[in-house]
Amino acid sequence: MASVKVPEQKVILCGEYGVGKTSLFRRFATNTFVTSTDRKSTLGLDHYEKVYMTDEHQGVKLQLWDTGGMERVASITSSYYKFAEAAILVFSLDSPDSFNILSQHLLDIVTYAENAKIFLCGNKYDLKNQIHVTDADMETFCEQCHNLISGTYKTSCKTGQGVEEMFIDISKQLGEANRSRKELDSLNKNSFKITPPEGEPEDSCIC
Amino acid sequence: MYEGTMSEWLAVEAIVRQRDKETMAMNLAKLSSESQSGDLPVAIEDKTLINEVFEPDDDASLSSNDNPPVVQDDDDVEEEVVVEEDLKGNEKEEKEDLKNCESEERPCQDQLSSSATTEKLLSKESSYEDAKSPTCVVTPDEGVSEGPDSETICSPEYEDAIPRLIERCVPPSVVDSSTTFNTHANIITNIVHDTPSSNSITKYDTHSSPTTTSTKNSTSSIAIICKSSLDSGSHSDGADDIVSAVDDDAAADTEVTELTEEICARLQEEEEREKRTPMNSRMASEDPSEKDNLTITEGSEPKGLEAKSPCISPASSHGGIYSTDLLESFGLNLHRIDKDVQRCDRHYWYFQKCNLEKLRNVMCTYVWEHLDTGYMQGMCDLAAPLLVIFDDEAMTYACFCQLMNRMSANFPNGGAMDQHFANMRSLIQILDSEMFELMHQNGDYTHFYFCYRWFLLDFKRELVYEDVFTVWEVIWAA
Repeated sequence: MASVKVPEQKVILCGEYGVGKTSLFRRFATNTFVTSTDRKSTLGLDHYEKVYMTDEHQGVKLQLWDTGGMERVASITSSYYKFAEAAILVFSLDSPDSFNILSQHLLDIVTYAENAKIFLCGNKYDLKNQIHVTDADMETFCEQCHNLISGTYKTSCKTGQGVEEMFIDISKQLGEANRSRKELDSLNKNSFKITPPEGEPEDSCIC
Repeated sequence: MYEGTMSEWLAVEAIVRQRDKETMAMNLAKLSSESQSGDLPVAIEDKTLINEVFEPDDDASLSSNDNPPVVQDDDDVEEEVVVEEDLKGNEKEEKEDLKNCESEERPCQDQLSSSATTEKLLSKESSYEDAKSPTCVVTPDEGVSEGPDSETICSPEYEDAIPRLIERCVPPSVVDSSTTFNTHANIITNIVHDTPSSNSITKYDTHSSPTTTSTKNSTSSIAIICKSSLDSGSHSDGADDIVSAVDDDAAADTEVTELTEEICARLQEEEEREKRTPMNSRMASEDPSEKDNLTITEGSEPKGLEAKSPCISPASSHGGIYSTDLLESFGLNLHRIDKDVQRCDRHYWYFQKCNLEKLRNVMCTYVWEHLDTGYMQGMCDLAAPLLVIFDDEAMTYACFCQLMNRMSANFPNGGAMDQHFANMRSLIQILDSEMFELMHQNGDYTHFYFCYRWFLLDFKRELVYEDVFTVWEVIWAA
């Protein structure tokens, strides 16, 4: 009686300007990479859905959302973050600035999408000799965030290295979270049934 | 007017870049100071000590009250040099084993400095260099030696700059007179050399940018150079005052010799910095990711101290004082503009390297004039078709300003976009309810966010350039 409906999980990409959010998105959607001259800054929103099988029976449909690095249209921003199950904090491994600004994006996620699992993704891993953000930096960041970060990845959209692995891992984690939440829900329903309060004691004003 | 604005932000850009380098140098220095613990406290102690020694000079500067800024600069110079010297002194011990190989580098170093400073008075400087320990001379060089060709690239520019400054600022009589005068002349050169450094950096920056070919840029850079020489001219007057004042004070003679030694070291530092700065800016302008090639030793630490002087000293461009906030926000905007310009319509034939630079200039000018709005994604796209049509920065800028009067509300903070979405929703709902239903059923797209780009850029991204021109004309005429 496995349900045909695959749970849909909204995953959003967050990060500074020009770190490669759209490149990640493009890898996710079409597994392609465009050269720097064909790239354009992202305006507006885009999203794409893809099913990942976490095991034989269970699949997770990841719905990846992409937006510009500095979109601050009030209505778009809130709907972008709303109902997100996961957020990927993207930064560029060759730019410490893009890493240091992540705390701001993290704050946005915590504010607008409080339930989202947060993942850290260092992009442009192919620039081996220009890497300025070390693993230690990333660890420190995770510690500073009180372990809000559920996973860290290093990817290269240019070579495709680590991208697929990242999305598979994220879908696994989301699938597990989904299952445990369902179990919790059913548990909640059965064992913590709120019994209607006893009838109010009769008003005892006999004056 | 456009050129004027441009020279304004170019100057600020230079400061911003300098600040970037500064922070990077600070970070690197922090790293290296961790490995050499105990250096810094000693340096601070010694600094206060030597300041007391120089008291006579303070007296001398008091007598030249008519030009206080110079006095301030002079003091700054001393302090920085002292710190510098101390750092080196500490290094000396650790580097004694390195001395042999360093002394091999030294001859070429001397050669460089003597070739760069063709003036007679400065030949004296090399003798002072000889008097100093080899480490003092070589340490600052290490930063430069990373790029083997940097010296050849940059020294000609430097060669040009120095004699010109000296010619302007030092009266010939001073140059030709006795050795004591020569030492004072050194002071003058130092002061003069020190204060307009921000301007000369600006000059180098402009030169290193590919737009040098466009006449506009060169005029603005000339304007800056003129300013620098004006400034240095006024400073040399003050320096002359100091010269006479110090001359009268016979007691100060011994201190003066010490001072000159310090100043020579300072001059040496300046020289190194001059060489390094254009190289840095060039690298930064070419490819920011190349930055890691710059290993900066402790020798560059004073650069951090000195770099603040452009903001404080009256010699900074237009005499304006730029606040840290302003510099930071403009720096952030510059960063964003760079990112966006690089990805703007690169497939279109017009946007080759030099035209991208034009687009960047227009954007920077706009942002400089509207710093409260700042740069926002999409502005580049709006300016690009205008530039293609006009092929002229000033015209594009003027037209873009007009266009933004109408369009700026669409950008984030403007608030008009939500209205557009609502209008679009109503229109579709009324005119094509079937379509609206379809959209509603297949995932809710009735927020119409996919129209964002259409409205923001007047369909510029949706059409090819030839059509954009037509469509925009129709929209504007409506």
